[in-house]
Amino acid sequence: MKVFFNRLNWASQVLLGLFLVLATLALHNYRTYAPESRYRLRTFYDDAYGFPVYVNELDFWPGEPTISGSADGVAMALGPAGIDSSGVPAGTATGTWGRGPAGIDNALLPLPTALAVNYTSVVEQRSYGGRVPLPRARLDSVLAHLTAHPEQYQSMYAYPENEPGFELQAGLGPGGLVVVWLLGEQYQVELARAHLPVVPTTWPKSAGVNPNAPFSSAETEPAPPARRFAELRRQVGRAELAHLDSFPHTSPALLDSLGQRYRYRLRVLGQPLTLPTLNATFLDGEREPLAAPGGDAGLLGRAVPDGLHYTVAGPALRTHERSTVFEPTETRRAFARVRAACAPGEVLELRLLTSGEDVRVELRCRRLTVALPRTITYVGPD
Amino acid sequence: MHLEPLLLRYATRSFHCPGTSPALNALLGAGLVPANTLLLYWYLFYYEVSENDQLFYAPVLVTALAAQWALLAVVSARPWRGWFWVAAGLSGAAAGLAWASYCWLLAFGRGFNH
Repeated sequence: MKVFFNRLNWASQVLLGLFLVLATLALHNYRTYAPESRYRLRTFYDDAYGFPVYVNELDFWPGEPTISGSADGVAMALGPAGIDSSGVPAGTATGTWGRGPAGIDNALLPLPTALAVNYTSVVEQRSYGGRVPLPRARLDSVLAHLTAHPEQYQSMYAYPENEPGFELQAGLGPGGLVVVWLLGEQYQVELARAHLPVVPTTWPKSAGVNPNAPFSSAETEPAPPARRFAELRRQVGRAELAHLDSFPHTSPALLDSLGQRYRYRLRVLGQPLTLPTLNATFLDGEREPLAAPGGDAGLLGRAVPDGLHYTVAGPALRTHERSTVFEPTETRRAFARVRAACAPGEVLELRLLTSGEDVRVELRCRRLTVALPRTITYVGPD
Repeated sequence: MHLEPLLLRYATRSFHCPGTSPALNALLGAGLVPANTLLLYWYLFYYEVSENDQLFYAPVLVTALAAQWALLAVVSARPWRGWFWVAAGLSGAAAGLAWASYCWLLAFGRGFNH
């Protein structure tokens, strides 16, 4: 051995020493390795749109009272309705909800009845928190459908020992949108959807913020600038067009980030309007038909309109269906200007003037009229 | 400073240590270099690695490879010496490319989220 070592030059000795050191380290690494032990807590997530989300809390909670002494401990006693859970002996403690970042485990657990979330949308620089109730009736109906039509819910992989099992997935969106899905390899069923209130942001760390203090919107935290929200909306639109993975095809209901309601009268002038066809979408993501006697939508007390969809009943016109999309920033700014100019108690009027292919939109009160030139109007097919 | 002996040694390429076997050292070293790189990979990158650290896969490993080939090439005798320099040069160029692309990724190629 010593003779062999003496016949090596210094470089080979160095390489051999390196080999021994690395082999020791790698063996030690191999001996001490336990799966998923390195990065136990993952604190950065992407939301359904690919935006970064900082998750403080994301726990599924069972509503059932705990049987064991521990607050997190849950004894498995009941199976979901319509699912054969006879393979699971009753009274077996199979795990805990409320542990870990997502609360999803391959151990069998009773279906939770609530989801406690606190997360920060980094794009919006604000946090949302609260509890999302998971209605038992919805779970039961989904599971009953799943039992009745097993061919629609084919799984590629079985759980260990062929136990029935489901995963719950929570999608966190900007605007406090939280969607909970029942998840399989081939299917994804929406269980619940909620809008969470804004809570004081703990990330990035801001000094002097008490996260337990109740949130009051205007005083404690200034609203983000409107430009940022418009940007966010565009990005969400792009994400929807791109058909992102694990994303429902319903359009997300976004809160008006300014948290404001506007009081105005919506009036369509010009071409005669077929009565039931005036639909308005608003910045909080809702879409509703407006009663339009003579093109007048009546008095509205709600968010800024996002767009109008209507049908023009002109016999000479080649096309009839139209949708007009407002620029939210511009509309808000116009609202602020006109509201400052109008008399107290006066109701603003948002006017849509159609003439032929031309559409003009203006916001007006008695003293001031502001045109919204960057309104986009699509003239759809007949 | 009396650098003459060292310079002479470099100039004449007489790195051969008396009493050692050139063939044995060259062959053993040529085996140890990939083995060490593999061990380094096992130690650093085989198990769970954070997504950030996965960017270091290529630059670290190829740099280690190049350094070991160069070390081996410095002390080896002909004819292995030339081939070791070839391996060191190739892996060194690859390491340079890997570090350049890593820096490029770090500066410009970040994801939408980060």
